[in-house]
Amino acid sequence: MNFSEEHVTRAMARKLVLEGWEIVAVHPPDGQGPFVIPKPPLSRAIERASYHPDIVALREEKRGNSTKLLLVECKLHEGDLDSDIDKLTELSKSRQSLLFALFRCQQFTGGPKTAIDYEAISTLPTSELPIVFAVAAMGKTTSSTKLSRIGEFDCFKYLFGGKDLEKI
Amino acid sequence: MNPEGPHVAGNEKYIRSSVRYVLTYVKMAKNDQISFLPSEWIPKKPQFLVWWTGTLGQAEWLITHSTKLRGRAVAAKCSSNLDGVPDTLRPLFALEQPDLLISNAEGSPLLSIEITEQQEFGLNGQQRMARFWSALASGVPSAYLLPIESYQIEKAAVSDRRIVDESNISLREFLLNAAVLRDVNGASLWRSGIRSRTHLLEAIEDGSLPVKPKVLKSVHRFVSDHINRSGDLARLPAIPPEEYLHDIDGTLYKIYLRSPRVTTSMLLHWMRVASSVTPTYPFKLQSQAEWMFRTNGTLHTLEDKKHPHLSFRNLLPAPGSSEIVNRRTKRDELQLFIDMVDSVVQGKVVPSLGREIFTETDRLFPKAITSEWRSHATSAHDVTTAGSADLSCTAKTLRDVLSCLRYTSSDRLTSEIHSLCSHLDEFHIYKIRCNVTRSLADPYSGVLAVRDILFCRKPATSYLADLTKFRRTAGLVFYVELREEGARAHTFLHQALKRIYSRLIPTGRTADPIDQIIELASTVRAEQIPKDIRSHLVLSDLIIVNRVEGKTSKAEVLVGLPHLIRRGLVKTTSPLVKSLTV
Repeated sequence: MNFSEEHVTRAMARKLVLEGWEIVAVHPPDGQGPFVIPKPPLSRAIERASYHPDIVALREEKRGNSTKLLLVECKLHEGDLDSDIDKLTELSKSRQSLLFALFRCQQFTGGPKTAIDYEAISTLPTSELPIVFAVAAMGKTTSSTKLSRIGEFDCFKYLFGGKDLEKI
Repeated sequence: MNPEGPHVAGNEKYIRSSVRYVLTYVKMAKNDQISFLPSEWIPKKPQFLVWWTGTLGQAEWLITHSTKLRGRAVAAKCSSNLDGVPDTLRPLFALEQPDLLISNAEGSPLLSIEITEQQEFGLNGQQRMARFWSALASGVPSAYLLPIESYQIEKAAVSDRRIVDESNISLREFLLNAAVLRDVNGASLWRSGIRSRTHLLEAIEDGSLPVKPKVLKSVHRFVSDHINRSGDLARLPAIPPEEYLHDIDGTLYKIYLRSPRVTTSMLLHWMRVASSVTPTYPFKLQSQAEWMFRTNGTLHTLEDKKHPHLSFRNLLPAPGSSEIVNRRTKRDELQLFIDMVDSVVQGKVVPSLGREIFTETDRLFPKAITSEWRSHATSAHDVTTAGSADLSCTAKTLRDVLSCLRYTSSDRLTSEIHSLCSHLDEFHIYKIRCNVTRSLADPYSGVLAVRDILFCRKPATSYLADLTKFRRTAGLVFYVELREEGARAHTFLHQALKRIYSRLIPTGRTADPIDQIIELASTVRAEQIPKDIRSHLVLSDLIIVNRVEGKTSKAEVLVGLPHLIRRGLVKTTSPLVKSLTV
């Protein structure tokens, strides 16, 4: 069976749901991304240069009574993840982009139940922003490991074996 | 429409090659092609194919939700160079490539589909219209799924900063309430004695708001559409005033409701005109306020428990799960879209599906919107000094424009221009003024396709039935004014044409641009000509490129395919013209 990056993205999204994450947006390869994070500096009012994470998810954390935002990049092959890690590293250095991503997931009257208390977190130092990164790819077997941190944030690597990708 | 293939009736060669192709495709699909559809839904002998250029997910969403396609259709990837696409379908890809195209197994096109989640900015909504032009030219129905209106987040204006900085809390709240209504000046109304939201809405309702009548009408309409949400057409709810402005790390952003404007009205009217010949329907992707911050309100299928193969692919929501837009129909837009798909696939007449609501007077647009589509140029000065604009003019004015420009003309070109201006009394000039070096392909291919139908043909069936004869009542002029760096570096048009001519016809010897077009038309198919000049040549009677550097300017002028076809210099049986229709 042939696999594509979409297999990885979908396997990752399903895995995240099982881990209690709520999927906010998925950006398929070659598709249009609904969750756009502008890159700094913004030279125009209309968003142009921007990040389109492959998966955006939220989870209410029992400890600390807070909600975390997860941004995920996916590739078919593990060897291609370096460029994604570079992309996330660049994103992690932009406080305004990170705050924008959190802002998009904010609480508001009539909004989704799982949401970020943006007013509360917007004054936190960058290192304390409730953000987690992850990368995902196809692997020989299914596994998840914690990578060294990206910027100030935790980052996890998920690999999916062929059998798990077939189930998608 | 008969799904058994009326378009290729009598063309047994095409039918045989297409059937062979489809059988080969299905065999390939089993071995190599990726599919997330349940295996029991993949037919051994498909009756239909859903060709996709966007994402596989869109094709599988369509197959899943159409009971007439499910179990009978397979998704077929369409490569950008159209390798493997049957000849009978290529005309639908001749100018641009649609996101999805449904065909039957014999290779007859049934429905061309475009899906965009992006709200229109400038001309990007019209960018895709050349795809619908191709469908219309072949009598193939098409569907355009687009937001029409949506929520937008962007940097706020300086005047919005003043609202945030206002220390008087009551005034600040009032200013926010006024700001989300647009068109009204909150500070001015406050000074006039209106001090609360309730008072503001009452003054709008009873007509006592101290503003000009035109503004009152507009804001009254906004309240009716977006706050009271009355009427047959469901418009999006207004932004709650308290959510209008947000400070993100020192930068002020606003979220606002972006309503359709002039360019969208042109697009929707274009579809209405086209539908007088072939169903060409818009479907509004209805946003939801709950998701305005996350996805600008756009709804998606995230996890689909009934159809798990559609989960997590950023696909449209399931039919029947969105707010009903046309309340007369009692069905949501995606149900209506699937109704269209099912009708076409079954070979039934496609009903109107309530699509006329989008162009009814004073529904989405004020009656006067059509007067904003273009202005009339009464002199060459009006044209040469205009920035980017749509202009109508007489043949005399066009001649005057040409006499103002500094360009090298041959006897041949002079003669053709004389012929053009003698045969047509009116012209529509689409002018762009820019300083770019990028290709002029997008969005101008679609923009020209829009103007062809809206301004250059009588809205009569006979003028629309055979588009590639280019029986026009007004000529179409594409006028490019390239400035500074663009003027120096851009190769549009003669240089680009020469390069493409040499590449496509290596044995070609002519240096005359008109002859180059004629030779290309008799040698290649439309899709072989790069997008940089393709639609411009195919749709324009006349192309003017004026390069302006400082106070000097130099122009190129060239007649396009429509004129050459009407003159009989390019035959309608030529490969290029034939490649435009099924």
